Amino acid sequence: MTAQDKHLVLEELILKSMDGTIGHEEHAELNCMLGCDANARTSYLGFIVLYGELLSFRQNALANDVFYCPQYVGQSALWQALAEAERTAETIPIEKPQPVNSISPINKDAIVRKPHHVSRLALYTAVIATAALLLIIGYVVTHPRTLPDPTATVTGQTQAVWAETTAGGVGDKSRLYTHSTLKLMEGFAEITFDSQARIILQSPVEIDIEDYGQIFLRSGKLAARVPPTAVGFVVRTPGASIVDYGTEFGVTADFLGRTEAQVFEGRVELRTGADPIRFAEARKLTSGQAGQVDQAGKLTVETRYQPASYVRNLPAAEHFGQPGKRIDLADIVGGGSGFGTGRQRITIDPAFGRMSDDFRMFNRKLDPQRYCPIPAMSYIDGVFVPVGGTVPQVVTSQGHTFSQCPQTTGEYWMNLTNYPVASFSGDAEKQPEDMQPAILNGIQYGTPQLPAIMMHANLGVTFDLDAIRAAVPGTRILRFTSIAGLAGSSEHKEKAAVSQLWVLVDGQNRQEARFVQGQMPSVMFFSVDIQGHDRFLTLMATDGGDGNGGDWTIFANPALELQAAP
Amino acid sequence: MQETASWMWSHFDEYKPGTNFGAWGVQVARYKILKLNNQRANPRVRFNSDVVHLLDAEAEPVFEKISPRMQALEKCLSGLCERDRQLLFLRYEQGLTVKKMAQLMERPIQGIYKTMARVHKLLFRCVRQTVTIEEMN
Repeated sequence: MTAQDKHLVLEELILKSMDGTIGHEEHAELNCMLGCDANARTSYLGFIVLYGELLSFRQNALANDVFYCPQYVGQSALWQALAEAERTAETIPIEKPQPVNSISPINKDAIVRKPHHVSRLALYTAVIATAALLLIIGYVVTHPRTLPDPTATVTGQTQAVWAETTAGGVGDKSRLYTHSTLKLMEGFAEITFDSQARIILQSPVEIDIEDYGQIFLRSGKLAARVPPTAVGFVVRTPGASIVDYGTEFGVTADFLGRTEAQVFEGRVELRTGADPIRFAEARKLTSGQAGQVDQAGKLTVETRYQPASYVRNLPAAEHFGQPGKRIDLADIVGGGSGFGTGRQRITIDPAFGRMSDDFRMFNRKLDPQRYCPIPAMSYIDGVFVPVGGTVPQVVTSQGHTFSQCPQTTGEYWMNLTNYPVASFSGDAEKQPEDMQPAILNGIQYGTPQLPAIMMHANLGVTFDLDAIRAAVPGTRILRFTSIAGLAGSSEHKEKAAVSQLWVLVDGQNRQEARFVQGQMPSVMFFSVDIQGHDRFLTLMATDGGDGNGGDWTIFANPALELQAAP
Repeated sequence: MQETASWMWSHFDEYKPGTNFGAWGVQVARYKILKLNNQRANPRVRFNSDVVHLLDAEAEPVFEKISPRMQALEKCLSGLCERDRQLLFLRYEQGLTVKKMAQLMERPIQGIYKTMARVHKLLFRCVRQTVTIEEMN
């Protein structure tokens, strides 16, 4: 290593030490250089004197005058001007530093020391300035800054299961260190940085804490809220970087190398490549926008904005949907991600696919074979009223049909809902509060802990498995499971209402069950394996051939079971 | 800082005109610094004690000329090009780390380190020369 190289290394280590970004190994290297090399110590002392002097301008509020033109201070154009200046600046060979032109060569022979005349006032001024400066310098010498090792804190967990490899174990209030890797296998965790930036990790997710203002999202999903105190927070992924400008945003990095960013509030910049400094392309995204960098490094902003696919606040511990374990399909009916972000007491109208809280009852027919796609919902492909008969029933937006669909009345009694209530009197004007809970096998469903999808015959709903897969990177969908049956009441136990429940995959019947009011079994356990190539899952209720009266059919605890991808 | 200044002022009569004021100030500051160090220092973020002693032993001649250096530095800063002054402004007034500067300026970190090293070296040489010239006059 040449003397010039050594000087550069030393300068870099000193600057890092001053910045507080020096690592322990680098600090040890600096220690070694200063201990072994007198020239390094001279350079170090010279540097910190200069450092202290430059800082003292700041202490004395002179900085604007000596460093920079005051009119630019605080203007956003500064950054652009600086960036432009740096970009367009000529390369300066540091090996041969140029002398300052304005200073003439020194004739050392002509130096004659003159006696100093010191006044008490001048000395007092000097005393104050010198004391301040010396203290700054002295503090720097004796307190070289290293990384503030603990950088963040685990401020909350919900059903969290951490990988055994996660260093030191993680619990509530755990302090997290820079350069540590965290791997969350199940559940959620909230991490708050000392800068007050906060992230919600949704498993499976793996991150490295790189420093107090930067993380590396190896894979998985997170939502970040960055207050003004932490502006500049950076999320790096293997394929992109997201630089925050004071905002709330979500990031997903999948195993295929794609990175998605969604901005809920404020503004971020999505940059191609894992290096936030050197990148080929960047786009600013504002509230309500989404962008993606694909495997090839191509940046697009046509990505669908799906705020509900991110959990932005730590959910209650007892949610049925658990990242890494199972997706709650009732939450998806409520517009959520399957992990508690949806709304309760939501209905979906099979005629237009609209979400509402309309619990009215009516026996209504739609156009036969009509399938209603719902592009506004992220994970629901569409809804329909099964009619069956001679024409195959269309059950997906891609035209999959269910040829064995039995003929029904073609009528539906009420909207699809994630709030199972029933009016056994048939009073069409009743509101949900006035209706009875629909009890299935003695249990009242319809809560975040015991979710359900009520589908009074005749109704069908189709979930988009590909869209769901994309939202849970690092996992694969194993199977659909549910406890399903016919809700009963004392009034209806005497009536022989008959209904059928179906589970279809890409239009193919995978499991069905027929229920008769008042007869056993009142419920069945549904379990349908899902393969990687399966695209659509359809749940359907038909009237059993006796009309749809009393067909209060329910899919309780409807779940897509997940497993970590190999 | 205030404590040191106050102590120096109250002990000003102990300063003997004609002796080296900087050296006297260094003694005062060193006493205060060591006291502060003993009170607060976290062993994990300190230099080894032998390194501190070496620096301490070699510091005095460097600190001696602080007062004239400050005036010289101000002059030297005014001679820098605007781009270099802007960098110093970001670093020393705004308090940005090199990493943050690189991020905001969309420049490689190593490039910023090199530029900073060049500017520091330029200033150091300029100050040394300026102080020497002032001593001549």
